[in-house]
Amino acid sequence: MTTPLVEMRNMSISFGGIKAVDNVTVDLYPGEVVGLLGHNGAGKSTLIKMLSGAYAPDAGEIFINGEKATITNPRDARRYNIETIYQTLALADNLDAASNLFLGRELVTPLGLVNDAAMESETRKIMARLNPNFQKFNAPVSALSGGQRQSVAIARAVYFNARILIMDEPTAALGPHETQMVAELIQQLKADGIGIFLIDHDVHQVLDLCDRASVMKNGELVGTVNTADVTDDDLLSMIILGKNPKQAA
Amino acid sequence: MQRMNTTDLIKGGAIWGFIVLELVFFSVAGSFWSLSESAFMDFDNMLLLLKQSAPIGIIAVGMTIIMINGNIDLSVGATFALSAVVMLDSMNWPIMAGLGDWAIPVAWLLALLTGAVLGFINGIIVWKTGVDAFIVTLGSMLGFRGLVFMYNGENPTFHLNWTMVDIAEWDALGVETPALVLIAVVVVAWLIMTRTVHGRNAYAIGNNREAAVNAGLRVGPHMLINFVIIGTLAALSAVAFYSASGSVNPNDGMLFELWAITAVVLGGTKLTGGSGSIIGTFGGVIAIQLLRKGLGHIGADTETVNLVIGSILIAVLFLDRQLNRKGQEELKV
Repeated sequence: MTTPLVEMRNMSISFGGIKAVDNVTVDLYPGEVVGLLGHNGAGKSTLIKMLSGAYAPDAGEIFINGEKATITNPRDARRYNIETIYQTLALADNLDAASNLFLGRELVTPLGLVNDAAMESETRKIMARLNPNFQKFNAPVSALSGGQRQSVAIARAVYFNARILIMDEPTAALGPHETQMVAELIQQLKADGIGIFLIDHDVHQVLDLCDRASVMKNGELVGTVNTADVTDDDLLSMIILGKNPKQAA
Repeated sequence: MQRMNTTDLIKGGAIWGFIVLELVFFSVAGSFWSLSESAFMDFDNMLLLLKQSAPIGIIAVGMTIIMINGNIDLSVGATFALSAVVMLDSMNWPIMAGLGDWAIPVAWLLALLTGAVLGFINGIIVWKTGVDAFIVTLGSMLGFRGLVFMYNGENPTFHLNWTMVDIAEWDALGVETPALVLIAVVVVAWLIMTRTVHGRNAYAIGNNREAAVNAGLRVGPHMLINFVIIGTLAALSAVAFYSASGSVNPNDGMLFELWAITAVVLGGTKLTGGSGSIIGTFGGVIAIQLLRKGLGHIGADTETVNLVIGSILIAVLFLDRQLNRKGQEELKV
């Protein structure tokens, strides 16, 4: 078996006595989409924030390509080519698409000044691939639609050669057409060998898009299943009852 | 950076339109009510206006950076005073006497250093404690002012050095040193905010701090740098002003923070952060000074001037709100 791209072993974190994540182990292989399912407050976002560097775990180890990784802030995560698309999209609304795409990694001229022309042309290139309809290159992203904003957030992850992509409910704010676009994009990224953690509420979407699904409840891992082997009812009962019907039977 | 659309142009140009309006109004009104013979839009008068704008103007430029960044600094007036005290008092130190006129640049550097250190103190507290900058700098405003009084009690601190006065009153084509310093500060700050990574990040942090953190920006150190910048600028303002006057009272610089904020807000920078411009602030500074001079020109007293400036500030913010709301409705359509 190949080495997992990411392995999070026995992760735990507490906030003021509440165990938000309790001894959870998940892994992710190259070219694979792993869904993270669970109620609000089940701990899936918290788990993934330990991978993206937003939270430091109380216990547990993270292995990237089989090697132990130390991730204490978002910059560390970026060094391991981990990119995150947040549910809130984490865009600076007052800046245009290019400035957002390159936020924190601005292209500069030899004099050290921001190179707007280069950033815009790179943004045009990546957008031509991701969302050919995208035209508003000079407007602040506050003027964009939900789908266009999502494109900017995804472009940011893709442009910097993410190898591990975390998507937190990427289609929550999107219409059917845009959701389809994101689904196609996920297939495309999979084909490139990128591993994706997909946090989602929607059981059907997880069955459609993911190879495996890990279900969490009250901070604990209920179980990880191959989506090919389960029905939506199985997944739902894991989410609601906190147990796998197949195992129980 | 986004290119300007029509609404932005109207908003960005509003302050300059206001300045033109002031010029026209005071020129016309002045010909009826003014007690002096000279015209209001006299060239020398305008140069004087630029020079008088310098102390608040230099601080307002720093305030713009801080406010775009989503913070505020109320301690600039006290920093201004303390830097001036250090500058003038240091020239009386025995060790400086041996330096001759070289004591001047050393005193200036000491003043700038004082401002930078005070700014650093603000910045490090904001960064490490996470307490809102308004509260932190409200505290340091009182604290720094306390230091000013501890230094020399209620007495003024003074040192008269004619070489220093000559430098401070030197002019290029009639533009005196303080005005030149103001112009230089405006140009450099404008370049920083529009052309450098630091400036771009300041806008991003001011708009969405969480997004900036997630994007890997070092938000704490970034804000620290901006506080050092405004502290240094407050000191530079003191250097430009007190090199000519040579005497500082412990109460000097009081309310400077509010005048600076007024100029910044008039110039279109938002209190909430993420938007604003250095050039707009420059316009705001000029507009306030014009208003003061103009009202003086037609014979109004200081109290009236403050009342009028206050009313105009509120009117401007109300108009800005209306313009913004209009913009949002357009988007929804």
